[in-house]
Amino acid sequence: MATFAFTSGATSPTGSAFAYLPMGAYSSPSVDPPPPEPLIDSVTALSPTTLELTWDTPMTDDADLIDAGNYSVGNADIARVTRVDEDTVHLHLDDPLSPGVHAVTAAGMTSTAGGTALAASTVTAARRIRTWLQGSHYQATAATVRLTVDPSGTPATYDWSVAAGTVYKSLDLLVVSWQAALGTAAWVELVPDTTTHRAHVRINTAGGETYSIAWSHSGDGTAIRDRLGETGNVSGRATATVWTNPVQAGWYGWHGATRLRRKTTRPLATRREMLSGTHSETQHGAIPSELGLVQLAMTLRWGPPPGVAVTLGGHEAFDAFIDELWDATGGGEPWTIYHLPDDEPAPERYEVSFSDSEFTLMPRRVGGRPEQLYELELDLIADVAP
Amino acid sequence: MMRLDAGVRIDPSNDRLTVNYNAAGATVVTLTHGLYRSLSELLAHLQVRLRAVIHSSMTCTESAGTVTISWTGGVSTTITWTHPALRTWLGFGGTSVTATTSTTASNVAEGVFVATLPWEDPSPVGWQLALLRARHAHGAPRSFRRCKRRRFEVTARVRDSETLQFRGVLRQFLRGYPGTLYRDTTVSAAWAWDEPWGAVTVQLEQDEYSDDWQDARRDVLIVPLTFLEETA
Repeated sequence: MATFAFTSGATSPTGSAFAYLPMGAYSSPSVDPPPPEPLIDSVTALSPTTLELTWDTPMTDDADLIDAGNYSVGNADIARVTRVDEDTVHLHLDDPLSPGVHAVTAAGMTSTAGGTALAASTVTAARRIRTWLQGSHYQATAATVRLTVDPSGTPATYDWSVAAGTVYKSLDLLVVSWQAALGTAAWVELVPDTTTHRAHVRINTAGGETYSIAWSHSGDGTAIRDRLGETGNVSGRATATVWTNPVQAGWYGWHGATRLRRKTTRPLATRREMLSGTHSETQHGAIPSELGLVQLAMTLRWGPPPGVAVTLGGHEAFDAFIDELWDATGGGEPWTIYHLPDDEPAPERYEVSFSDSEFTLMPRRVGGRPEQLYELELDLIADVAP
Repeated sequence: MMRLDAGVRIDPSNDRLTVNYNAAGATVVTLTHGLYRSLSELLAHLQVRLRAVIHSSMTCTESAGTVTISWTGGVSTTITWTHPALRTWLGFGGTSVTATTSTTASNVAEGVFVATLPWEDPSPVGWQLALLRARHAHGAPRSFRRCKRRRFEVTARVRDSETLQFRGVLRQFLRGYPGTLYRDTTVSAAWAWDEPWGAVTVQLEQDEYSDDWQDARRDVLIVPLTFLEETA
């Protein structure tokens, strides 16, 4: 008799647990029991935009396995599904998953045991990254970066060509450009780590194959390589590997920005926005779509996540950030602030420069939370603000 | 507690002392010219020179800024302060001293202030940046970072009785000498991100300072100070 292990949150949407008992145990022994229905073993949030879903049995058809139409995650839009192995996939979302519990369903694929998947589970998205800072990237030389999928099997190449003089105002925009060149062959994303206040690259190939990268397939792509935290060409790397070194000029905070004061959008109309974790509030009713140079005062807050040793990791990462804004082969200024309130699906983007040429940045301890919470005031000029 | 050591430049005016160890004859000990950013750095060099020129047992130590020079063998040794400036900087007095095992300075070294009251530190570290924004070639205006220095702010608390020593240390900083800020005297390691209580070599960012009475008791001064990490 087959046995089934029910894991936390994994149920069949078609009935109770009795639905999983082999029918033959209760009826004529001459009737073959139906093949066992695959169950979702677990769903784990690997990053704000990527979930890992594992099945309790391998699946037979890779095309079904990576068909985004076979899955749903709450109200989120699934941009891509990539195969890690025959019973594990990664679901890549267009926007970060909001905090809370989300229903996850999967259907339409067949396991090696013959059963057809129609399973449900849930995933709980933990508190997500709210504010991240990224330097811009100035590509001085023309370059073509070649990613080869399955280099030791049936190689397929995907070229990303960047013209000399191309400026990406943030690392996220650089990654979006690379993603466009990769199409459906692979998924590239930055995985934030709020403990180290950094982010690392992760690339998933669609079918779970290994991949290689030649940064200077033509031209000189070493600047892009350095920016993304690599030191040499990538050879035969396993899919879904989080790269060892962090990207340069990226800073990811646990608490994020708590206040933003828009100072000189237009005469006599200052605007104040609260950037708390759960909502945004605006005072003075400025026109949100109003463009032009905007003077901003932002309060950035950081500290170690709960349960993590008290260190100056946030300071150290910020120190590296303001080094790498200029030292890395980037554009210096402007750079980008992303802020993601809990009640908005997509992050707001501010394209900023420091407002002064000589200035001091002193993160202050927040009273009552010694060594655990710091605030830093940033005076900025924004070219782009929501 | 915090401690502040002012640096000193050893030059022809303060580079030598004369030692007569075990009646072997007076020998001039010359220090290498240069900038010494803490008392311990200076004593380490003095010990090297004494061991090289006088005797291998010569040892230079300090405790809370009070210097001791010692040696083994219980032999009579005379130290003559050829350069009074060096003597005073180390906290000794008189023109010479004779002892059999060690001699300890009568005063705290001139460039050292060891706090006896807690100093405030509202921020563990910050940054001071200077940018240059210019039109670069025929591209868009670019910004270049001219300077980035780590910044340390402390609010010193000084007892009335300690004012003279404190002002002596600050005077040296105001002259432009770098020094060493010990953020915790129990930590001997250098400042690092994973040891933010370590010692850091700094310069005073201010060109003046003011000390104010902390309260109506008028026995404690508070002095806001800003230091920048010394850069090569």
